Amino acid sequence: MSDVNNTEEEGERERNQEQELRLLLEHGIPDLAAPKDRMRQIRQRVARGRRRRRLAVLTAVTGVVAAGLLGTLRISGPADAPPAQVAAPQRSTTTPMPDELGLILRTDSTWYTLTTPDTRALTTVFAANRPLTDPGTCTEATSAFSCSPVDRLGVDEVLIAFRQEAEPHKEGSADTFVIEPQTEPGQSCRRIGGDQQWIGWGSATPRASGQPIINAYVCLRQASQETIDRVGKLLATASLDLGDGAMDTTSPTFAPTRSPLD
Amino acid sequence: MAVAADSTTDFEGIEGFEEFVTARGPRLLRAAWLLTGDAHLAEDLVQTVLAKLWPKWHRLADGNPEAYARRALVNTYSSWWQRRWRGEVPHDVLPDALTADMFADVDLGHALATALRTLPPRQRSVVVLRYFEDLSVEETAEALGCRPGTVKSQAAKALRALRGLPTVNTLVEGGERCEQH
Repeated sequence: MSDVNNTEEEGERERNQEQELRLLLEHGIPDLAAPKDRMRQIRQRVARGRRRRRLAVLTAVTGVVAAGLLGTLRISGPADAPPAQVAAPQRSTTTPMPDELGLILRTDSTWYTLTTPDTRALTTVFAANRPLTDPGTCTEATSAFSCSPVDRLGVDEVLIAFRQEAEPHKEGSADTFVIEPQTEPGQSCRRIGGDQQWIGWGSATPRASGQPIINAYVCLRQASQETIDRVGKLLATASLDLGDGAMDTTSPTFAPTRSPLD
Repeated sequence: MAVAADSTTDFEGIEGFEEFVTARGPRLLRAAWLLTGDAHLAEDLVQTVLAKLWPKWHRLADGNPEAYARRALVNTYSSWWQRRWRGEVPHDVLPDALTADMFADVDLGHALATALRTLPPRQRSVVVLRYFEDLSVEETAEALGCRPGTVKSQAAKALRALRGLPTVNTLVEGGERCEQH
């Protein structure tokens, strides 16, 4: 008899706890306001998703064709010829960024790119003129190069980190991207061997549209004029996909405020 | 520099979608906040879900788009967690170390988010569907793609875990006060 009572009491207690939790969930949520342009933002996401899928199909088709050609070459080549080297998949002439960033980079075939998540639940995109090693999810995203895909930069090597951040590096120039050489490299840049650093910042126009703020951190080591020109060109041609189905060709772009050599 | 443009006409003729967003958006956003504990991430999650819903709208509109949205919400949250939040930063001060006095001045929402963050993502999803969306055990199981028994055990574990936090007792009292006002 007492067992029955205990079971009933336990059931009653559980129901009370569930009811308390319901009450708590209902009342504990703060006031949340949806952005006024939510529909527009959804539309942009759909458009970006379609472009990404299209690109994936194109990449797959290109890969199949390349594999076919490679196979043909192997068949027609000498029997003792060494196997052909396959280029690293990150190498690309145009690197569309994840949809969270919507940033399009135009790098030449000697550049490498890598997208990494971090515990801010945000994304960092790295670009470099040397191969990159995936550092995995960054648990200490305290600075641009704290989770670097490069242990140490060699001579004439450069690493760029495009970071999605809450605020631009500097206010007052939100309509366009600008890039500014720093008087000395930051600690995390120095740690990977950098001796020169630039910082760029900006957002899509207008900033209130909800587009991300992207700060670009450039770490260079004994960079030649050719490399500096190449980095300048990469930044000058970087653009944000505003997601309405077409690239924004007017702005923003990275525009050096002065020559990095000044 | 320009790339091929997507036809914006693709987005026309989706009758009822905007009304759905207007009607269900606030509830979805609240559920997303319970999952993520962050207003910006919650809006991001809701938009991701709605962007998934949109292309399928013509098929879903006559069925149960709400159930689809709920399922997409918890599944997307789960995949985000696996992909991006695996390294969730542990707190210096665990929620159960907080005292009732401290909560007198602390925002109820923040405290709730902190308490929910102590639950594994799966249990958090069960809590949101079962106790916020008020789904039955069977409906919750269907949304999560698991057995009803799993929902029951996960819910019981979540309740036990939350019950063990002094935070929650304080919050419950706060919630009851809210109810009385």
